[in-house]
Parts: sequence; structure tokens; C-alpha cells
Amino acid sequence: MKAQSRRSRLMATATALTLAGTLALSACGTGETSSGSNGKKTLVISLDSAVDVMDPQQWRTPASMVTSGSLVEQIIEQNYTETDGVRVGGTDFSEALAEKWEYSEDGKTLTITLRDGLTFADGSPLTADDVVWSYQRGLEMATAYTKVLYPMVGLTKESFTVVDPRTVQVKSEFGTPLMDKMLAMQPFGVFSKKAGEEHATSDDPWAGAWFREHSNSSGPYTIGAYDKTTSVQLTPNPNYYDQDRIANGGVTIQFISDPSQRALLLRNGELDVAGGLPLDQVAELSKVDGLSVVSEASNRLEYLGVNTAKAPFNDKRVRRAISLALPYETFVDEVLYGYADPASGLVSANMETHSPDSAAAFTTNLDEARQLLSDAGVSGFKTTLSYKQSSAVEARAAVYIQSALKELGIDVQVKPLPDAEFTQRTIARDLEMYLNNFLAWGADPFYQMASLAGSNAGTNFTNYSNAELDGLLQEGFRSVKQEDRDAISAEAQALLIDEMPTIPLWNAKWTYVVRDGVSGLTKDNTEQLRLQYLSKK
Amino acid sequence: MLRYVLRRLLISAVTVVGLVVVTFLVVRVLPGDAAAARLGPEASQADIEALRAQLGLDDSLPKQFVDYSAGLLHGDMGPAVSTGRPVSDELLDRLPATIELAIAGLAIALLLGFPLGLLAAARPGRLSDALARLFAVLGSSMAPIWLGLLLIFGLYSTWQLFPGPVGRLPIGTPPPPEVTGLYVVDSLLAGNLTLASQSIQFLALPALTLGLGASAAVLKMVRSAVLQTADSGFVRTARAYGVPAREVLLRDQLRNAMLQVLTAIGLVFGFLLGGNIIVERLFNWPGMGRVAYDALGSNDLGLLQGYALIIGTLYILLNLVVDLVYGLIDPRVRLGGSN
Repeated sequence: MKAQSRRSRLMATATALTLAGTLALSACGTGETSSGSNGKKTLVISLDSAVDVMDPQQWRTPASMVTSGSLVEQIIEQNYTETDGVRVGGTDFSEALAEKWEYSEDGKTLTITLRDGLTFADGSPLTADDVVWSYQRGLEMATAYTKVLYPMVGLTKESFTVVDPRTVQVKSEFGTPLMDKMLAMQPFGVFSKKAGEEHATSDDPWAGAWFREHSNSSGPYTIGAYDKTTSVQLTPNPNYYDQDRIANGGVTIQFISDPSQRALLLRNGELDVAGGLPLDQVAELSKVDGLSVVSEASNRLEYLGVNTAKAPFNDKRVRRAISLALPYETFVDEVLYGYADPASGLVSANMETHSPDSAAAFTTNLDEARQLLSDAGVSGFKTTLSYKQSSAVEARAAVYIQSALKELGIDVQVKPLPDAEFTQRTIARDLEMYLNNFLAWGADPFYQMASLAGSNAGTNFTNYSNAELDGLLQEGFRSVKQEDRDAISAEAQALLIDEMPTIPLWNAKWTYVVRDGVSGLTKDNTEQLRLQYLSKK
Repeated sequence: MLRYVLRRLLISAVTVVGLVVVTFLVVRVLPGDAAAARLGPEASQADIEALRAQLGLDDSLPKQFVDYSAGLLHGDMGPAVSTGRPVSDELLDRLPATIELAIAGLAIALLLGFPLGLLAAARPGRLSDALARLFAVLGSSMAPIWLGLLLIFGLYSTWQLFPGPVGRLPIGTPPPPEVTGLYVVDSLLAGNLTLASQSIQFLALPALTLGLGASAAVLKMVRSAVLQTADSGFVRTARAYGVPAREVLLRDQLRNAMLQVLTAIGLVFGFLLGGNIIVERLFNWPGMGRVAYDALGSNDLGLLQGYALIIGTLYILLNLVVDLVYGLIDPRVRLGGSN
């Protein structure tokens, strides 16, 4: 009996050890590399957010834009030049789905001729009907955020015409260089009209619900697998018009919500590329063997917004005084760990038409700041500076701003707000002073200025309104000649420096950390990754 | 017994109705416009108003409540602002992951807490009791996020004993064919031992994070409940008759302490279901808690309302089950009192 009991115990122990061994042996398969159906290596990446929507006209997170943008192809594409290991999109373009695209002499009529034999992922033909349906969808679907872009290039519901199965005509109210920039953006990729009509309902005529989770791709990838809270696997689209452009065998986008975990997984070889990492960790990871930091100048502008409808911020001298008290270099060195460029105006240094003189306005000069406050008859006041509580960068910057403005006798109470409350209150335009950031797609200076300081712009949260500025910006949008654009933009920038409705702080760099052997990081004019160019040795 | 069951069912049903009313009102009282949140800052007022009308947000509060309740009866909780998908789909798709994690956490809590609680109660004031109580203090005072980070750092990053926090399975691994939604069970049902093993590995660290904290609560409740029976007449009698101490402990004291212990287990399981938001986020566990966390960031009040409703309902059901088990193990309960 005793022997039997001992044998049972031994058996149990052996079973437990075997199970533990099995578990241990099969644990932690890190850093494995596999190939896709095209024989090229697959990659695993993690971005700053999850992918919640597969529709490039409805996305809500940046990772969704990257992913959904890979499921559609555009008529034209930016030309890229490689700088410091990054392929950066410029202001000239080449044909993508279009065989050619031509403007009329006045720049108001665009004729697009599609390549012959284009198909969607399901093999159905891609025709002019699909292009027009896609462009109309971006304007007319209630949940499409893209509709805000159409007026900037003079497009209306009636602008799009199917001439024949391969030809589309687009008529604009005015000619503008922003048109090409816009047509090369992911939201202006081509959707399958057939799929849309099959899944449309009376409440949802543009099949918004279906495209949020599915696609019939015209782009470089199709959806291999999609779990909304874990990952999405993109696999090469066998019907993509140019297979040579797909430099990898597929990309898995893993959703890692905690950036510290993202850094840890990258360090341990589970990820090939990670974005949205805290900059202190980027600085640390730059020292790790096998990893490198890829960093490139960006047009994304961090700014200090003030409520210009409220005293004393309704006085431009007060706004300028604040701008002169801020420690711009300190922001770059201490808050951004060097991964930023100091403010040089609403139109950043890398944007076309940037005025080189404007950078001088963003240097600390406390004497001039005090004088401006004195001229305004303001001797000191209390105010509140709000920011999103999820942003560690803004939390650090707020402390420096609080300290800097104390020098002017301004007592700043720093107030982190839950992100959702912050968004609501900026939309309600009731915050006194706040930190926020903005990026104009297409790196267009007039889009940037209009969005941040134009009257009635949805993203101008300052209550600032200036008819003279609005006039200049509208003129800028409608100007085709570069010298005209330069002159109008310079005038608008000078006005904005004088009025200072929004105070630029810095341009954080476009930064990713990659494993050795990964190349082809490509930044387009929306400053998102183009996944098809990523490759791995 | 039937009367007892019916009474419990009625109380549970009334509580669920109360929960529906409270969650409905709380979401309506909170500031924010679901239509504006869904369309973003650049939407026109006309679009916002059209969506408000489509979502029924312009209707009176009583009508909204009636519509909402009618929808609930059909499993319709309305659309999630952040994704446009039905709230019920967003949450119920994630429920198995949350339940699997909670069950694993409870198993660890019971495996650790139960024997340690008994050990402490068997020899109160002795070294084993002191060590068990020290474990309880450490377990209950350690925040799950801190414990989770510690486990990730030690068992994944440093020693590579467990996989990294990337969810329920290795990156790129397809899940087993869905039967229950619990990956360990479904892998076994599919006869895929490798997948079952992987599921267990990925479950281990988040479950340990939850279970270690919860085991402290189980330990304290078992110890306290068993000790309360130590001076009872039946214990003294058993001892006077020379029944071995171990037998008295396991047969008499533990059985009489089970009502309290069962309550504790119910509470702990409820906590593990609803209190794992941070753990799910930390380990990228695709459960309902992570959906709720993301909903907070995107101001998706409908999704939060659905989360509160589902977790609350599960909690009520759990209490119902505990109540029914009371009735089974103690006739005094189902007879309506100590008489």
C-alpha cells in the first residue's frame, strides 16, 4: 500500500515535471522570421495605437490610417528620396493607378486615365466608376472625416465625371497644387464600388459599416487576419498593380497599448519596428545593440493655444509676451530628449513657403516680454494650462511653461485632463490655455495656417478670427504659381507672428526604433508609414 | 427550496433592472455628445444633428430609455461611437478572454489561498500562521500593476521563462476553432496540445498577477472563518471524543466555515471579472477590460455603459449562484432563518 502510494506520488511528480518541461521548451519563441507567399520576409510592427477601423475614410487612430491606407491604392503617388535611412515623400508625384493625369491650362480640370487591366483583390475590374464612387464617398458619407479637405481644393459633389471605363474627369472651382498632394493621400485611394453597393443599406448607402471591418483591396495588401484588440495581419495582394513595390512578405501590426511594453518587446526581439515610444526610452534604446533609431524632421507642430476671446488673452501683446517668455531650446533638450526641432512658426521649417525670418520670433526675450505686458497694462494674472493626461511630454512641458511664465508674474495652474474631457473642452473652446498638436497633411502651408488660425476651422480652438488672414489663406489656396504662394504665405506668416493667436513650441521628430536588417521606412505626406516599402534581411 | 430559488431569482431580476436604470442615467448625465464624438472636431453641425437624430439622441429621456430597454431585450446595446460596431459585439466578443483570465486567476487564488488559510487556522499564533499572514499582507498591499510589471521584468524579460505580454497567443498564431472562446479549452477540444500549452503560457503571467492578489483575500477569509468555529460546541465535543485535530479541522470546522468562504470566493471572482482592466491592458489581454480602457480614452460612453451593464449582470448572476449554493449546503438558509 505504502509502495503504491509512493509510486503514485512519483508518477504525479514525473507528470508535473514533463508538463513543466513541455511548457518551458515551447515557451518564448522570439525573434522568429518567416516569409510570405511572395517569398519575401514578413515583419511584425507595433504603432502608437490599435487598428480600430479598416476604412481609410473613417479611421480614428494613426495605426488605422497606416493599415487602412495599405488596403487602397491612389491614382498618383509621391516620389520619395532617401535621407538618413528614411524615404521621404516630396512635392512631386508619379503615376500609380493612373497611366497619366493631366490638368487643363487653367488648372481647373483634371483628366485621369487609368492603367489598363487593373483589378481589385477579388479579381473584379477597377474602373473609372470605382474612382468616382470613392471620391464621392469621401465627400458625402456622414462619417467620412475627409469631407473637410474637399473645399480646400474647390471640389463639390458635381466635380467628378466618368468619361469612359478608364477615364475620369475632375472639375475644380480653382487650380491648386494641393490637389495632387490630396490625391496621393491614403483616404483618396480607390474603393470597390461593387463591394460597396453589395453591402450598402438604406441607412448606410456608402457601406461604412462593411468597410470598417472588410476590404476588397486595390492596395498592396489584403487583410489576412484581424482581431480588433490583438493584431492585424496584412498579406500581399496578388492582384496589386505593381508587385515589385511590395518589398516584404506581409506585415503583422501588433497592438501593444502600453509604450513601455512595446519598448520591452522590441528589445527582446518580438518586434521589428516600434513607433510611438516615449522619447526617454527611445534615447535608451538607441544604445541597445541590434536596434537603431530612425528619426526625421516632421511638420507635426506642438503648440500652446490660448483663448483669444477671453481677457487678457484677447490682447495680442499679452500673447506675444507669453511667446517671448518660453524656453524653446529647453523644450527640445529636456522635454523631447533632442528628438525635436525648436519652433519656427506655424509653417514649419520643412514646409514649402516657410519664412526663414519667422524663426527669430521664437527666442526667449524676457525684457521684451515684460515691456509688452506693461504696454498692455497687464501686471500679472492667474490662469490655467490644460493638457491631455496621457501625454507625458506635455506634462513635462507644462512645468517648464509654468516656471517660465512665473518670470512675467503670470501664475499658471497646471491641469491635466482626461483625454476625452480635453477633446470635448477644446471643441467647446472654453479652455484658457492648453497644449495640443496638429499636422497638416500634404505639408501644405495654407492648410496648416487655415486649420490652426482660420475663422471657423474645426481645429482652431482659440476663438481667433481675422478676416484679413482668412482672405490671404483663401488666396493662397487658389494660387498655382510658386512665387505667388511664397509671397502670400510670407504675408500670412508675418501677420500670425504679430497676432500670435497660437504659439508654436516645437516640431517633434518622426521617430521609429527598428531592428538591424530592417529598412525602407517611408514617410509620406501625411507622415504615416507606407508599409509596402518595409523590408527585412 | 423552490420558493427560495424563486425569491432569489426575483431579487436578481429586480437588481438587474435597477442596474439598467442606473447605467442608463449615469451615461446621460455625463457631459459629452456621442454624435460629435463619433464624427470628430471637423464635422459640420448638420452632420452632427443628422447623426444625433439617427442615434435617437434628440428624443426625450423616457423614450430613449424605453428604446434602450427594448433593444436590450434583443441584445442590442446600440452602436459603439469609437468603431461604429454594435456595443454588444464589441464586448461579448471579448467576454471569453475576460472569463478565461478570471477563472485562471481564481484557480491560482484558491490553490494558494485555501491551503495557506487552513494552515494558518490550524495553528494560530505559530510560525506557519505568521508566515501565511505575512503572505496575505504582501498580497493584498501589492498593486496589480506593480506586481504585473515585476513578473514581466523577472519572468519574461530577464529569465525568458514565460512569453511576452502580447495577448493570448504568440504573434501570428491563429486561435483554435471557437467552441467556448476559452483558448485552453478550445485547443484541447481541437486536440491541439501545442496550442493548449501556448495558451497556458500566455495566460500564466496575467493570471498570476490577478491570482496572487486575490489569494490574500481567500487566505484571510478561510483563516478567519475556520477560526470562528474553533470555540464552537461541536468542535469541543469532537475533540473531547478524541477525534484527530486534522479530521476536526477538515470535516467539522471547514464545512461550517464554508458559507463565509463561499461568499469570499463569489466576491473574489466578481472582482477578477470586473477589476482586471489594468491587468488586461498591461498584458495586452484582449478582454472586455481592455475595451473599456480604450473606451475611456475615446469617450465612448455607450461602450462603457455596456461594460458596466455586462459586468454588473455577471456579478448579480454570480451572487445568485452563491445564494443557491448556500441553500444546497445549509438547509437553514433555504428554510428562511435559523429556526
